[in-house]
Amino acid sequence: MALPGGKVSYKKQDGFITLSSDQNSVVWGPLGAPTSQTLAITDITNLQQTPATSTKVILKIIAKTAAGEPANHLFHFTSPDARAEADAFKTILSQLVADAKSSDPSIPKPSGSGTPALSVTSAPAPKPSLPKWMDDNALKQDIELQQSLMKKDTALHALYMEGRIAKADTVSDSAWNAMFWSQRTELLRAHAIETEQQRGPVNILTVVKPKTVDGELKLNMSMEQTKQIFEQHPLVRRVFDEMVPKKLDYSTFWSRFFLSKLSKKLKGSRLTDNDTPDAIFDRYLNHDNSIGFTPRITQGHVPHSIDIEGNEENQGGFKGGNRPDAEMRPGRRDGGLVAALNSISTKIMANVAPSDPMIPDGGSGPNPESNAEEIDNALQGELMLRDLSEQQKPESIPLTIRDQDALVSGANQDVNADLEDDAMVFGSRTPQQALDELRNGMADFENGKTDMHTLIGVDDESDSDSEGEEETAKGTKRRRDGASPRVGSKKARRAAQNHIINAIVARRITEYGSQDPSLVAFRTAIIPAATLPGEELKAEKRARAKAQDATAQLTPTMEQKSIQMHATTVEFLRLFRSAFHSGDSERAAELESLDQSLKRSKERIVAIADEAEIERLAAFEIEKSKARELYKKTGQKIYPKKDGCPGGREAVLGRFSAMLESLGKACAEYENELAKEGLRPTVEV
Amino acid sequence: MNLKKESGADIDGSEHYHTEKDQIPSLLTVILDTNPRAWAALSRTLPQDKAVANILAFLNIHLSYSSLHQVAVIASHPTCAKWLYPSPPPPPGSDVEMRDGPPSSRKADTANKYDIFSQVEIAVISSLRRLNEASTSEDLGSTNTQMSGALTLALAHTNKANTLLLANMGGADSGGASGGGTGRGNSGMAMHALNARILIISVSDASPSQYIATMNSVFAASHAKVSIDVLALRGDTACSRPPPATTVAPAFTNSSNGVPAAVEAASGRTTFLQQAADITGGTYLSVPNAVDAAGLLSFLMFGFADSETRRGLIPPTQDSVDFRAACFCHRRVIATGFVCSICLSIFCSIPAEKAADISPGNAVECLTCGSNLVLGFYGDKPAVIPRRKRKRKRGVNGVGREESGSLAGTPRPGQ
Repeated sequence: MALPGGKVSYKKQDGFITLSSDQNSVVWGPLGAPTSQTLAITDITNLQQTPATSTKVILKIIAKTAAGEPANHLFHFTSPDARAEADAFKTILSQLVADAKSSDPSIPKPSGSGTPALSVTSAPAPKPSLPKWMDDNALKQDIELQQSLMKKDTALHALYMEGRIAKADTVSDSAWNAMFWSQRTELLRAHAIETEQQRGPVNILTVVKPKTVDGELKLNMSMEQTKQIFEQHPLVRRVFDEMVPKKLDYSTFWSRFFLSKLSKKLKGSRLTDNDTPDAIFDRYLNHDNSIGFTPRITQGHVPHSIDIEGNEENQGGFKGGNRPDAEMRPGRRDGGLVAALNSISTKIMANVAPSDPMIPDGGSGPNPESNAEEIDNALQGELMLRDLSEQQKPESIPLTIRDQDALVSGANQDVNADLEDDAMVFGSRTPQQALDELRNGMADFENGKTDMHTLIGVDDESDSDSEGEEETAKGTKRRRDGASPRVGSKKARRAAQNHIINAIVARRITEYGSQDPSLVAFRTAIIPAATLPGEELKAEKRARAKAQDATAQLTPTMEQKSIQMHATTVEFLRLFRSAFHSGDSERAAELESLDQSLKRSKERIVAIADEAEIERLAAFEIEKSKARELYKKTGQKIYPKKDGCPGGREAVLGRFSAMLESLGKACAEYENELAKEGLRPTVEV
Repeated sequence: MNLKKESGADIDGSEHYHTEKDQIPSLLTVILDTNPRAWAALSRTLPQDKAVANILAFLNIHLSYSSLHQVAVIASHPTCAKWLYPSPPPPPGSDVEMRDGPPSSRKADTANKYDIFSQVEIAVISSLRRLNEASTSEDLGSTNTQMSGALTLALAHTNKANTLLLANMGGADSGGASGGGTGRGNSGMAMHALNARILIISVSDASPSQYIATMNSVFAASHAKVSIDVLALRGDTACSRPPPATTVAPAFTNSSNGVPAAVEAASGRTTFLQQAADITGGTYLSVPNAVDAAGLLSFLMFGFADSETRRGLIPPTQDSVDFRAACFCHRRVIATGFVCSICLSIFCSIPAEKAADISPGNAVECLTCGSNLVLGFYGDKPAVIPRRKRKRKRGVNGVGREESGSLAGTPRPGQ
């Protein structure tokens, strides 16, 4: 490209202004003389030009001198085409000056400036435009997309709404929206991709189905469909243009068209002799339906390797020896079925942009300007039968374990991890004492002659209550302080049994649910509570009641509420954790509001528990009144138990115990951090 | 394994039917945690001799079900894993006097006892005595035992017993190793001639240092369809609560001054054994209080049914399983950590050479496989107060691993 420039007069002296070949300076020289003066682009601070209305064309360049003083240089464009020359020169010069400024470190860059374009001659490469689903921010802001996703996923919608109600008041709806979706960009992306993929056009003539009502043809056709018919069938458009409204009115045209042979033909149906003739439409039967019609796919460059038309041209086509193609020839009289179908497919496909990655940059269509040869090669490569070539070795990445021994043996273990407060774990004995005790303990065993029965201490005849004393009387065993039962005593064995039964019950509930009827039977049958002596009975009952807390029955409505509440709270916790651990001070405000939300979640759980308690009391009242009724009628007394009614505060709180703990922990951690910050004097709020 | 038609016809052309024994042999391997100090601590409620007597009774019950049943007992000691029964063969060239007990005295002394009962008893008791005699107080520095070694021994023995049985069956049926035997025995553990299970009687903590080895054994057991039952005699509820069943939120604690290691070890307890039971489909039973250990026999007999019987029963196994893992770098028990996306190694803190390297977006190197990893925006020091610009001191997390071994933001189990 030629360097811009023009004839100018500078300080009353005629000369020529241009740019140096490296585009680093403006060069001016008197005519016929070698270059005399240069102005570095980086020194130029401003450019001014006389307005277009002025007859004189003067470009004023303001530049710094070596001393740092601004100096004005006036160039008067003198050629006949002065205005155009000056404009071109100024445009390029101002671009260069701007570039120089943006790359100058001493000058503050305007925010958001892109990379400085170093060359003016070549246009900056167009950024490959990413589909919107690759952009997280776009997804987060696309309310419409979010709405449509929630419409599809009702559970998500419920969670969203619940959270919106439950969030702290300080959080605005839009902030909540942003928080909620920032956790779910993957879902949004999947949904965006799903919705982006639309069905292609179909043969519109088959979609429009005229109905005959009361001997009259009723058409139910939308504007969109009309448009599509015209798009797909240029012939119909032509007929429409010629006939409406001169010969036919709008509705007659369409009703007659759908009855005509022409519509059958265009639809791709076979014509029969029984078809009703139509004076107007039959005329067009053999007209070409593809006039004014250029498929986008072939508009660009068609590589020779797949250009069948070109091949035909090149080799002489069906004249050159191949059997004449009867089916697909244009102008075939009988309007072959295949030809009709083929024609409609072509038209449907015509508006589809090719999706083949013809251009290496994944561009949006064939660009004739781009390297045609490269495209040809790429397409050639696609046509290759790759499965005939040799199999490629699978590309696997070897996983190298650096020091396997250290890994397994735990050589690099933290020494502290194993050390514990010995006294806490093993009591006050020293290792030596412990060893001595063990060595002496084995004395009861005689080589193979041991009486196992006495050694395991099971005495079926013994009375459990008096076992303790019996033992001391015998004097065979170490004396213990009352609380711990003798090994193998009835009491000890029963405690073990109860423990196991409770475990089985808990397990059963997890597997079959608390509503399992046989569970109740199991609970009552396997340990008849009456056989337990007083004090133990109470303890046992307490233990069992406690074990039931987490699994006690709730009414289905309360159960549902609890589940929903749980989901919402988990959502808040997730958001909190993600913000808390991000370390991003910009999210501090968000964190604060989430902390509020967590606190409110706690309150809401308690509220549900209260509700459940009220429900349970109500159920209990009903039971009581039923019992009174029964007593009035039959004289039979029954005492309904509060435990028998589903629900209750404990049932809810039991379910949420882990959740409440997590909430408390999260809030405590937050407050802890806050306290730490508060102590620092340098906090900028 | 029921009625089975042998594909190969005999010489006379008659079809040869073979019925497996009605009973499938069952091998019960008991791994007894013999940590002397732990037993001494338990001696108020359950002295070791009593416990051994109860366990022997349990073994006898198993043996008396069928003459095909087998037992094995392994001691998991603080310093080593030792066979208690069957006794290991004497080392070659050792003194005859070293072999005290069984072979010479057995016959004379056990006239009133079923032979195999007394064999087991003598072997277990004498080995245990020897083990206790051999221990010195220096050996007892560790609070936990060689559980992974014991598990490995148990699995090896199970495999051996299985292979032997298969070889016997193959030999008896087709009358030659070259014939029918080839198709059956050579796939090792794939064929199960016996029902095998392992019962761990644990009194001390799981060692985080053996985490990888233990879990390897557990997965091997799971693969070989050997279930691992666990009876934790040291009531783990007494010292630390099990973590909440619903681990909805990762439990984090920020300790900038405390040493988290001790707390973690204390809450470690039998974590890996719980997982072992869960993974292999075994039963994990823990004694609620140390006092309840006195009912050991009931626990054994009621809690751990035979693997055949078990199929129709609801096991009394613990409802919630502690799924925490030990990190590969410091062997701390952690609930939340960092995982290498290439080799799945677990780290309690970001594996960086220098504290200054730790910052979001910086590449760090996995200590196990050496892959370069990039850390997402996570694990930073929580910023609770909005600031215009955050100054980065050395490392984002304040202190580095070299200095105190504790990182702010180090994931820790829920307490």
